[in-house]
Amino acid sequence: MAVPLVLQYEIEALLAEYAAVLDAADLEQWPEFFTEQCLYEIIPRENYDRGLPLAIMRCESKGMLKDRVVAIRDTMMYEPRYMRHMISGVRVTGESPEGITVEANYAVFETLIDDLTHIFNVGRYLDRIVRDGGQLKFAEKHCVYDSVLVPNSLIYPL
Amino acid sequence: MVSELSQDFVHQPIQGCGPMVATFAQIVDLLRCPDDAEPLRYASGDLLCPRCARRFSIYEEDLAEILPSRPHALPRTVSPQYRNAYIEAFEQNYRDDETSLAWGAEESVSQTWALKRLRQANLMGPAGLVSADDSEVMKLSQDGISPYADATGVIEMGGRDIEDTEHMVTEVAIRAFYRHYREVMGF
Repeated sequence: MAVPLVLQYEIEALLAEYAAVLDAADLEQWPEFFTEQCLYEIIPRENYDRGLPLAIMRCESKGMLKDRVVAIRDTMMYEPRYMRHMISGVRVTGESPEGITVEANYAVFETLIDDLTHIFNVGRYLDRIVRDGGQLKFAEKHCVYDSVLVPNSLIYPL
Repeated sequence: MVSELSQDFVHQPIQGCGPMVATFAQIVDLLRCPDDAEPLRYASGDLLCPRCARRFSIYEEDLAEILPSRPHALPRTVSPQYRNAYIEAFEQNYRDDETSLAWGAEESVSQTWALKRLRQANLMGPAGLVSADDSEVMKLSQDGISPYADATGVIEMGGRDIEDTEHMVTEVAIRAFYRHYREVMGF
């Protein structure tokens, strides 16, 4: 599919900004990347490929994303950590009145206190992006990860 | 002994349990402040602790559906297929060198009910709102005890009794479970 250069740039800039916000653990900004009615999920490839819907994190609206942030900030207890996103191979796969569909690979590294950096989660983003008040926002974001296992716990969104 | 327990389970509904909690207001009644165990109140979009004034924001009441519901006996309307699958999943006999955990039985249900189950999955697993902390604590505990492979360590949380408490920050339930387990197994 021939993609206008400006659109390709806009999508890549959006994903770069998204990664920067998560890498800085600026969680309060994270829901702002999504539309009011949205779907965000982190789902193993094993389930996604078979059409099975069970995800390890599932938010069905911006409100639920905000609730997740409140839980991370106020109620969950976890070891301090740094996360680092590498997003590449950004491809626009379709454009319709429902939005722009985008696929991209991601690798997320985790650094715990007194530990070497390790690969935390690798997979692909399957996104549907729409224009909302002049800004590009995620109407859907499926984080489909390749591994069957997640090391220990997944605190921050991907 | 195992088959005796099995018969009890199949034929007697769990005593003293109400229907599943349905509304947000009913769920709020079950919640306590994690700091001081005071019952939380719903006030202008937040959950509020009247004692320490700590606020927990709630943006989307849908998320509350994943909060605990009371255990309940299988209703009479449950299909025989589900009842059989449930009993088969939870009522297996195991050898003493096996470990297995039943999570549920296959359900044939409406889209709405399936969605509820998908939301409930936010509670458990590596990103679970309830279980992620457990994984973290167990990792820290393991880091702490693994240098002492030849020693025996005991970590206690809140004593040894099985008295009722007004909050859920307690290991009473698990102590009571193992007390009963020891009796049943004759340990």
